[in-house]
Amino acid sequence: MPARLRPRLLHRRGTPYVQLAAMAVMLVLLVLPILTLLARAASPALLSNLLHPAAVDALRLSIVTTLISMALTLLLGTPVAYLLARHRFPGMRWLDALLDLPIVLPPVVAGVSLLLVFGRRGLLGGALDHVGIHLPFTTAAVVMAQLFVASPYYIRTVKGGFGAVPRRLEAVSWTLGKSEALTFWRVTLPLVMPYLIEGLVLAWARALGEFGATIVFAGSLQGRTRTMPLAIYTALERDLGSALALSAVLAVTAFALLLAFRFVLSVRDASE
Amino acid sequence: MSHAVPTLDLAFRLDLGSFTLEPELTSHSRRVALFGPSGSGKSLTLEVITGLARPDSGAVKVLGTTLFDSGSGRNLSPQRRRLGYVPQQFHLFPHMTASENVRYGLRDAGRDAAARVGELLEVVDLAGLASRYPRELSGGQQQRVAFARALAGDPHLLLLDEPFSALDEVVRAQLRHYLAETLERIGTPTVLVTHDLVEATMLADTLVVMRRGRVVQVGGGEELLLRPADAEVAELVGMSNCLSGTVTAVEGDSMTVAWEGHELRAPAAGHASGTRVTLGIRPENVLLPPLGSSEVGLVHAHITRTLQEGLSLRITLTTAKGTALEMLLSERIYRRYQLQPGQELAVRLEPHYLWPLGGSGG
Repeated sequence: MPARLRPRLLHRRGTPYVQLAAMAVMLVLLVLPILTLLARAASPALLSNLLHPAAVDALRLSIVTTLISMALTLLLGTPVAYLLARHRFPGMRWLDALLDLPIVLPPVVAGVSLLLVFGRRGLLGGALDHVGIHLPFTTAAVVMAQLFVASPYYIRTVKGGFGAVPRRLEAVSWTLGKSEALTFWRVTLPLVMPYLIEGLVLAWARALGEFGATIVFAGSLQGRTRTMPLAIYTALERDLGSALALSAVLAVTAFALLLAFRFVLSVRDASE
Repeated sequence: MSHAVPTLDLAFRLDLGSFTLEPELTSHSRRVALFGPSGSGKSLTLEVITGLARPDSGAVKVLGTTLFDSGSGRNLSPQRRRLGYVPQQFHLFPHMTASENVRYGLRDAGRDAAARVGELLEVVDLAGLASRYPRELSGGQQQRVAFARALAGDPHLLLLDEPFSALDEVVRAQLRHYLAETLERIGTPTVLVTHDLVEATMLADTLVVMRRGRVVQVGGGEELLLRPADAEVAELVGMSNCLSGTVTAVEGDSMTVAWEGHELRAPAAGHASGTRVTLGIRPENVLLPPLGSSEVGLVHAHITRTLQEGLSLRITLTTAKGTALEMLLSERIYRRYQLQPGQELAVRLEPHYLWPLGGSGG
């Protein structure tokens, strides 16, 4: 039919001034700071700033602690996600909601809560002290703070993944003579893998940027608990170059994780 | 025809609160169809046979093997039952290719696994699509992969749950023939669940009619179509005409029924003279006398409605007393008799096709 007769409903006419204005404000707020950061960091001194001992310590600590917290998330979070997705038990809805709480809880509050339980005079701290375990202001405390704020993202995502695998698919595998363990390994796990990766990417991004809970529960000791976000905050007053370099590294890593996340999503959508 | 051990021997009870499944069935037939309306418990019965659902009490035996028996506490796991289960939505493993799906079904993947997978794909005519993923296959092809996967484990019995319900009408018609031939060729006993009479009669020798969790009739296709156990089964198999009359005489195995001034003859079913009886007759069996004949004893009625069904016409006749009578005619016959809406017509109700529908009461 001639173009003139096409329904006009779908074609807004005129310039959307209001929306464009809102977009401009959001761009200044969201994108401009990051671009400015990258531009300022990209100085000839970038490499030497990154090789500064304090920066190297922070980089190393961030990598080590997040790798440990991701391994623990994988190990502990996967069975929990499976349980929540596949079993019905009393109080399950409450438990499910409680496990989401860290996502909305302000990280500083998380740090205070951790201190109240594991601190020297905390709920369990006294008992731990007796057996010679002191958690606050150690590297272990950094990992715990990261687990606290990041693992719920993983559990949430992987729970959705287990929920998306039809149980009948597993049932068919049983009728074909395959044990439940083999069925999990060859049917369930491969199908949940994209969700597993997505959950890890989200959790890792969150753990890498963790600041509030860490500074309260683990403090800021160079080489022991001062991860990159803490190092940036510390350096901001004395050594702006280092702060900028570390910030740029975090920004680029975050962007890479975002790309990885999108890629995983597109692979998953293509296979469904 | 008859084998020493029954293919299926079921007598169990499974209480789901709002619904109780308690079928009783012993069938020696090698091709059984569980037939009935949705919600009658057919698919659940299949799941009990596979071991995916567990009865509260009773016993499940297949080809002489006890799979479940609440008396002795025996309950074989689904893994050990060796049944070829093809679920309604096929449930192929989406992360495996067609051949990987079939290979997964093998019970021992020895050295000749690849050859065996090739053979099975050959059986279902999919050799060319071995490396496709389920999402790259049509519904019909997916069904055939699921079928090959079920065959891969050398099952004692094949269980097909509504094998065509996920397919569109054209594919469905083709696959029915295909599946009927394939089943005959491989010779594995089969239990099929369906609510489609055409499927049931084409793929099975014995039809088990289920209703509200119970078995209400077991028989061949013709038996069910012409001699349903009661009015509900009659409706289920398309015997849509029910004529209520009074028994006037019983002679041996036949009786005479007075209905709207006519004397109808039908098989006797234990009704005493003077009692009310309902006679069923299929629309296909309401017949027109030859053109120009002057038969007596015909039923007069006029055409009140015609519905096109493909190349057939479903015609509703209404008698002088207002009773509706359905008949099914080909378009060709309709034209030859020069029929038209509103016209008066005389039809024949043959004793052979009239069947008393249960209950002798009123």
